Amino acid sequence: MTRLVDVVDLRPGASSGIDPDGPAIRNVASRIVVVDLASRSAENHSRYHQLATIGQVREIVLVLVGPMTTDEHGSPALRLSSMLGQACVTLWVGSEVGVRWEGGTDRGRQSEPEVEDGLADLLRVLGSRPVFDEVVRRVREIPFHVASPATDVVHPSVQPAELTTLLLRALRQMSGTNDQAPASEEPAAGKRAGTGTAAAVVPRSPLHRRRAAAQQRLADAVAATAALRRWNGAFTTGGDAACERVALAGAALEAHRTIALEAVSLVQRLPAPDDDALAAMGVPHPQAVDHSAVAATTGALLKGRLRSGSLLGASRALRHLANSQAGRDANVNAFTTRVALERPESARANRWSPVLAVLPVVLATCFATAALPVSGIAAGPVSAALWLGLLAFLLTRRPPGGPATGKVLAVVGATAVAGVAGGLLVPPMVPVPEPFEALVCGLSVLVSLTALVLVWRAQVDRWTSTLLLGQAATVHEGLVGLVDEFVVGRQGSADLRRRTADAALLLAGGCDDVRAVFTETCSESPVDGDVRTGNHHDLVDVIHRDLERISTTALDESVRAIASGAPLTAEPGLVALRARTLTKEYVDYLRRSGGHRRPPMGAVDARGALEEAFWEDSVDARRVLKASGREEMRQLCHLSDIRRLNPDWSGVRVIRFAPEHVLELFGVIGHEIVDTDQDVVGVLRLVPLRRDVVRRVAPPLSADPGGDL
Amino acid sequence: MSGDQEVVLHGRDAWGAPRTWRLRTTGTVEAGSVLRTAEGKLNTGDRVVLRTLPPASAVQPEISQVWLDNEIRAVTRTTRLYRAERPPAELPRLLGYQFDSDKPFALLTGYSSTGAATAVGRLLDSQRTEFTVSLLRALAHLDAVDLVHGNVGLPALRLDGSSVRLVNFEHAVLGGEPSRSGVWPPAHHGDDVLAAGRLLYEVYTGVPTTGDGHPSGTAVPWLRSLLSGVFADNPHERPSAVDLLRRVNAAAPAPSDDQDAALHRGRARFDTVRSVKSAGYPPQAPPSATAAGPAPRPHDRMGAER
Repeated sequence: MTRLVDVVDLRPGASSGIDPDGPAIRNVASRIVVVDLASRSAENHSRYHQLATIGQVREIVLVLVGPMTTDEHGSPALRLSSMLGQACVTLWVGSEVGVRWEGGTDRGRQSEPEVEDGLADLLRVLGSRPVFDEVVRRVREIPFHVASPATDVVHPSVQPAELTTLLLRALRQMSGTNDQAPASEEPAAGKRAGTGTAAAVVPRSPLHRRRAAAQQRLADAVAATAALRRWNGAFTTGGDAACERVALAGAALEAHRTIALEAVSLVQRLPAPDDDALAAMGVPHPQAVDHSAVAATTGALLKGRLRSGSLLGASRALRHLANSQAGRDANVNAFTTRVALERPESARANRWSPVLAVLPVVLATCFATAALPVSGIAAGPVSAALWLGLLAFLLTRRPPGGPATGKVLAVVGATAVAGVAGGLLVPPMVPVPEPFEALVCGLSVLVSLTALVLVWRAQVDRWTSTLLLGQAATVHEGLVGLVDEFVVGRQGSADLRRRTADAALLLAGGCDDVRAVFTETCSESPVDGDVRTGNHHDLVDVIHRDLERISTTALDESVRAIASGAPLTAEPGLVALRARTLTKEYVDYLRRSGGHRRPPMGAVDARGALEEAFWEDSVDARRVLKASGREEMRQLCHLSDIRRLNPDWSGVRVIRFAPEHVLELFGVIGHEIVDTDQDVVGVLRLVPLRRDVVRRVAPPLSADPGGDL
Repeated sequence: MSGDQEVVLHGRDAWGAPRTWRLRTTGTVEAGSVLRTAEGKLNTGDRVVLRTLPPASAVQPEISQVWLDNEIRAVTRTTRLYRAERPPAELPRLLGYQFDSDKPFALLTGYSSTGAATAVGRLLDSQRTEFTVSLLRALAHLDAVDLVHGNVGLPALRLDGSSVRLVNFEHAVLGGEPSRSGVWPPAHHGDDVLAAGRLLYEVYTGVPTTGDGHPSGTAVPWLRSLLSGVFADNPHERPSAVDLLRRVNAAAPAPSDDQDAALHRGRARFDTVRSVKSAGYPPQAPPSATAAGPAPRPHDRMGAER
């Protein structure tokens, strides 16, 4: 913002305003306020000449400070250099504190000692172009173009020093060293970016083939064990075939496990998952990123955190968002070891129990058949042979486990022989009819076959109980779920998550940059932040909102870059530069125009509450705006100077001024009130000096006006 | 030492040979170090960094001399133990030093003089991982040559893109030596691991760790698993830099070079000659074991050199 009115302070030791010896003096505004000591005004010809001859300078208000000097006759006089010419009007400030005076015949009273600098107030209101112009216009109506000013200035909201304190406080709050909100308590925005749901493992890919193979083989193994258990399992399936199916299922499951774990390790690899390797396995490529959604997510998080907290909080929350994109590592504990489908040391105990259980039956059937009087001699050995033959067959077809075949045959054979021998040797008790013998033989065969089927079942059950087919199926399902949810889902959202993480980090870095600018602004501020401040919640809130807007505006470029989908790079300094410019403009604006008017870079719709509060607290402003100029005001001179003023009311000029929003609020537009762009409401009374105290002094003829004094 | 200045330095290179360097320094820079640091350019055009004593008004000369000695000793060690053909990019290399004159110095190959503090905040996601790996590799290199940096932190890091160079070795000592002028407990590699863990935690979360080195806030699960054990109170219980590299699926750096390699041929010849000379004497130990003997401890090598 270019300044429309500049202040040049020629007083010795002056530090504010534009340095008259510096290079900036050539670029002053077209309206300048020159401040000098009244005692030196007749001697500074060359300096005045230098200022008056700057090309662009159109109007000059010379403010002469301090007591009058005396003329050649020893009477008090205000001696004015003629070098500033017609472009210049003069205000004489005999005392910076001033006296309370109503004008007219009032003799005036001392101001309260603690009252603040009236000169500062005057210079401040002259800094507004409309007020400056009005002062020039009205003082030109006064003889010699010289007047003594009286001021009554009201800051409708807060004193400038207080405002600076509030600003510093807001800056510190925004920088936020005491933002305690933990970053992890993020709402929905803090969660991981959405996971792809539509994707699935590519058909006929290695991952898919191995998954299907494991599924098929496991089903085969289950079917084979079930078939083996049937009464004719020994004939149809046989132990070896079932065993082979189980082994195949184990191998297929192992192959599935290997590739699934490889996919998991690939997808959660640091620094970045290997998309091509995963695609070769059958995991679909990451889905396309909706860049505007990423910008919306991160931008919303940024704005939300700024609203409720500070830049530090926002930076941390964004970093947390970035960190959480990586997601949890998959829990692969259940799948780390090869799945064995058989228990290694399986049910060693009671290996002989089915054999032992069948021995009494062998003994009984052999004895019973051999003891038959007629056919015993043939049926007994046949019975024993039947036992041994069928048992031998079952033993060759049995699944693994159980006692050795030879031992079993030997024990059973010995039992059968014992039964036959016993049957043959026992003398027949009673004669039995032939049909009975046939019945006994038939029963024996039936009992033998039933016992053999039961033994077979027991044997198969014992083997099946050593298998872990159910567990294997669970592992298989787990692997399928792991790949579908974790690998495929994660890989589907991989690009989105990477982009979100980068976007969040870009904004987090930007927040840190803005923070550094705010901290720097705080430390550069000349005013100590310890001024007592009233209760200005609304204003503090407005400033906070403004600073939020400045922060987000400074980061606008970054958000646009995120939304555009272009590769993200953190350009060092860009955000900081933008933030520095905006902050400087804002601080200047605030110091000049107060917090009530929305600065160009300030928050929209933040000032409603402020205006209401102002309306209620604006008694002073209303009084000042109604002033006619005949009230008691602070005349900027000493008590003794009053008699050097010409109090004739016809010569006095009164200027009232207020900012536009106050005028609108009071509905007083057009009542000859100057519309100032500053946050002040006030009235200036310009009182002419008596004709005999003003002297125009021309430079001595010998002096070269352009030379050094 | 402000502004451009021609300097002629007399000293020794890392292998102790006398050397002279002519360089133009471009002024002292703020390097986050207690030693005075100046950037410069050799007359060959190579950029260098010159480390000298801070002004006596700032630090007692006896203390600053110890700091400079530490730096010379540590960087000499890393330079000698890693062959020039493949120097670790994560560590500075020594061009030369001088420690027994009134103007001692360490002359290092050039690195960026500005600290990593602001640049680290701007790293994007994948760059953070590169940063992490690079930092851990630097620590693994130091671990391999039994050095403890003692002051790992942002001021001691230089960023080139996202890869790290660890500098400012003024507090570096050998493992087990008293750290920081003897008032601190014996230095251990776990000290650097702890410092790096705190640094990483801060870089990733933006939240500084508390005074006792423990993370103050909650971290995401994978960061917790990356840093698990790093904040253990006992340095011996902390994972090594190589362990941490494994956690980020990064390979450990190549081991330091065997500086006795050049002697192997001579020793073999000694063994041959000896076996010829001693032919006929039955009791003979396996020649290689006796001749080569145990490799000298790194401490001893350093001691002999100083």
